[in-house]
Amino acid sequence: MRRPYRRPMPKTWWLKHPHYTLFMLRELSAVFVIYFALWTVCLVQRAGQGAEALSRFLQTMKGPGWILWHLIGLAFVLLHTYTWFATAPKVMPVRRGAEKVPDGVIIAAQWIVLLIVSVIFVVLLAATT
Amino acid sequence: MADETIILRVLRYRPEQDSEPTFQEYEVPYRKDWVVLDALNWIKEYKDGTLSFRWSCRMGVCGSCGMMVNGRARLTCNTFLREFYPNPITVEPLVNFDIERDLVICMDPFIEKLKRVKPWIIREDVKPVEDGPYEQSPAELYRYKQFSMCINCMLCYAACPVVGLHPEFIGPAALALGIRYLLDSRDQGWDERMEEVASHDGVWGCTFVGECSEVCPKHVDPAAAIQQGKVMATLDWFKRLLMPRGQR
Repeated sequence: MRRPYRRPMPKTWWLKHPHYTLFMLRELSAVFVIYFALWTVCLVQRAGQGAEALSRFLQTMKGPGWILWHLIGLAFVLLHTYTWFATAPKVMPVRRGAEKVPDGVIIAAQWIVLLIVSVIFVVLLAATT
Repeated sequence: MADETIILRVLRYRPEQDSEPTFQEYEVPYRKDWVVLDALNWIKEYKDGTLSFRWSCRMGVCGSCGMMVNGRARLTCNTFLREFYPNPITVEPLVNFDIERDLVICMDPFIEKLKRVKPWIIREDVKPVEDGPYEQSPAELYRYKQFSMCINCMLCYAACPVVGLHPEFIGPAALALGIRYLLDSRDQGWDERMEEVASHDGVWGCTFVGECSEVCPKHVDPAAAIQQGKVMATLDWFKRLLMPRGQR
């Protein structure tokens, strides 16, 4: 006698294993990427309104609530970066004949490029202020 | 040593008498060199001959004995009791599939999905046998070899939440196999296969949870295959847009 039983999928499936939870956090991290993009637009807009508007905006951002909020955001954006870089060797594997270039090499290369670009930005920023 | 035991909590479902599955506990002798499948076979031999489960090769090749062991999709023939001892072990049928009986799942949907990607070489010009094989260089082989190692154990379907939430999703193993043929230099079935791979139920259903690759006992890395399939599907779409009548 056939009477297949279908088990329902619980709404809390993403809490069943740390990998699933990390996946959900990674998906959530995209929201913070958009948030920081919009925040940058606001910053540029204030700068366009003049020096006083800009300094008022920056003063507001020094509030402890804002700093805490942006630290949480930073953690999510770093998670986003980490998982994004880890994706690269899977999406675009590099081959040398039979050998695949190890995933770690591709991931490390991206972090190094990010580091170099960041350093250039910081140096340019320091030079202009 | 000889009288050490371990508890197996096994999900039972007998369609002729049970309205829903329930757990049954068995006390099984503990041996360091026993795998979960050995314990299940011991139960069937000495405790309860009605317990149903699939198995065949006992060496991680046939892909028949996939089950949920303590909530993770595993081949029970290479999951040792010593990994859990002295704690009890929970054994359930693979999730995201209907239960046929006890630990046996209904694999019909998987077989249908497998057929959709046409997992065979399609040729427009079929050579006569006497003309020899379709030749392929080692470099051409390496492009898809990893994705051809699948043993259809369906662990990746149990690990994939998208399969559970959206049952029409073609799923990791079948998509990896479809992409394996797209990458095969001997194949000429690109268009008809890409239609399935790039469909709504195909690669675009994947949200890249990546757990399929974690549980894969053959290191096929279906998640990587699917992400590469997304790139291939995108390039294919652009090519069709720019050169509607073009040859690939």
